[in-house]
Amino acid sequence: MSSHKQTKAERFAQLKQQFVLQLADRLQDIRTAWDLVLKGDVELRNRYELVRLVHSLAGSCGSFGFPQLGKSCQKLEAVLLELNDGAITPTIEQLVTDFLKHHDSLLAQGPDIDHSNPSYTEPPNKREHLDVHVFLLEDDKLLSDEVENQMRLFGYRVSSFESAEAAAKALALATPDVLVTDVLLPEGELAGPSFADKVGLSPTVPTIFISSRNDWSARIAAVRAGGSAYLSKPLDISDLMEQVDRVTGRVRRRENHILIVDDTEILAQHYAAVLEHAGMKTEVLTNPANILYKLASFQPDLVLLDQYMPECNGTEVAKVIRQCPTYLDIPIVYLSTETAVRQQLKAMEVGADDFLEKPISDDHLVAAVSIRARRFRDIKALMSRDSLTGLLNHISLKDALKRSLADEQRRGGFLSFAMLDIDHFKQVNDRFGHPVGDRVIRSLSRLLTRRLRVSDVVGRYGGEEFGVIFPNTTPTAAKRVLTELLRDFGVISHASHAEEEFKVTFSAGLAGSVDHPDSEALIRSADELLYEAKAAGRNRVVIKHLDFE
Amino acid sequence: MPDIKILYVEDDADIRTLAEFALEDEGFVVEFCVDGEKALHKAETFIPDVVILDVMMPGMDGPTTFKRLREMEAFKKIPIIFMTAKTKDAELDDLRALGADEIILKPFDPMLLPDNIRKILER
Repeated sequence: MSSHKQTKAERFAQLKQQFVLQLADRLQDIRTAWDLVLKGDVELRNRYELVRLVHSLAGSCGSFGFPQLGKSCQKLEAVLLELNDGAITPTIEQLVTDFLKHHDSLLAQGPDIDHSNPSYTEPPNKREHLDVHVFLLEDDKLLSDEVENQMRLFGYRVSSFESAEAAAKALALATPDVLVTDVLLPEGELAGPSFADKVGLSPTVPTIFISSRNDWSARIAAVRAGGSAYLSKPLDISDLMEQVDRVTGRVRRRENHILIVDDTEILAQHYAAVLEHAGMKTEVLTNPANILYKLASFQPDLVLLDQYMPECNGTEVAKVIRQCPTYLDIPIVYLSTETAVRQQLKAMEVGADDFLEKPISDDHLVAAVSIRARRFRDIKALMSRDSLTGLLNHISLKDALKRSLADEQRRGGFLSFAMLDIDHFKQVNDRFGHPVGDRVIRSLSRLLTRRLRVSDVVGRYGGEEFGVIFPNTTPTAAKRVLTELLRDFGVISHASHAEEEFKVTFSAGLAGSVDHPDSEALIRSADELLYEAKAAGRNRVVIKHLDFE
Repeated sequence: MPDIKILYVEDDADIRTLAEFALEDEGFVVEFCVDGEKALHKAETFIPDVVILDVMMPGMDGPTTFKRLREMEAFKKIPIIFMTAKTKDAELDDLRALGADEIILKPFDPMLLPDNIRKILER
């Protein structure tokens, strides 16, 4: 299998070579067609021929290793299409002449494609929410309505009940992800805990108690009823949501990704099955030549590497991995029949983390792999996440955007990028203090992560500023989603310590990768549009005005 | 796994060569057509798992071919992917509005095409 793939790579090189050989001719064809048009030949046929030649190059150049040439063909095509049957202005003439001159020299340099670009995103998937169903047992109708309304905005499903009896009936029909119950109910002073105890949901369904009682006997009753958390009234709904996320484990966390590199398919599939059984996600690579692609598309947390493969050995593959700054720290674990300690040590010198001897027991494999993968992710999270919100921090968000963009562009995909900023945030801080301001930031962070797709990447760009990457989405489509979130965020009531309620809005600018193929330009454009949104009165999402508007 | 059948409509010979190369030996059966009319003709006898349509073609263009295919009973639900070298975000919205199941922009990396198509079909 691997040798066959190798030939494929070689054949691609041949195809590219053929393409290069006729490139000069095709540029010459464009020159000839252009000369005809220029000679005052008003025949549209010639102009059409010219556009067709340029269009064809625009579409294929990039794929054959000439992205720069492809890009300028696209620009030229756009200009020529505008031209139609109008007159050729000196500007256009200059443009075409420059194009032809420039590309003769570019051609001489050979292909300019870069295959080493690592990527970040998982493929865009369906709108995928983390559905959490909450049963709320609370006799204070005002409070339960408030909880229900607020939590619904964040995408939680809430069913509320005023009595233990009503809740018991509902429990017979459906099982929630979490039960939230008041301690004091019409049925009695400690009716909440005794109800929880009786239905016996815990520990499979966690229970959270809320109460105005803060005394020992209420708290111990809650503990004995298997309560996972205890919140005192007046209830802070963001605290409640934080506890719900914690006890349901529905914080966005993906399983460990393990990449297995082994030329023996059967063996590799066996390891994969063992690790998958232990709850990890695996991908098998039998041809090490594709390692960089695989790393980019799968984003593993650990690489399990066979030491002996026909075309290259594990040490060499490890060196290739370590050549990329992105993968400098990824754990590499060798699997080999190698028993000589000297050889093992030599292999580990290039930065391998462990050496597992074949045959290896399933338990040993799972333990060795999962511990290292988890530690790697913890360290990565510490370095790349914002401590207040758990979102990607400024640098990692920019990195993520750069990689998503490179990845999309190689695949022929596209994305949108949004910059969000909370409106009048300084006033919130000044009036209510920084802790309240921080809560507002966490609230928007929670809204974004809970309501957007799993494949959308959310980061905290700075202070009260957020960035969102929407893979496979145009700005128009992303605007629809953000506008909906904007509307919902605006009705969330935030409370200060003085229990003074207030509401907050945000503004956003959205730009797309087709208009701005470079990540810096994309950020700049989103930022400019954010500024426009602010200037136009805030509380809105702005995308680039279409020319015909 | 049975082969994935593709009806591939593309006027540009370079892209056809590239796609043929990218998809061969990867578990695909590809029928190439050089324009919309020929694709409609082919569609009468060949029912693919997915259609890939170039947007800008002489004669019948991609969007028109798309509409005509969708009028055919057998093609009501088959995913259709547009391939385009379009240069504006707003133009992608038009293709989405038309009902494109997916859009692949040119240039694309041929090595990633097989996986790309498989992932689109999985959704």
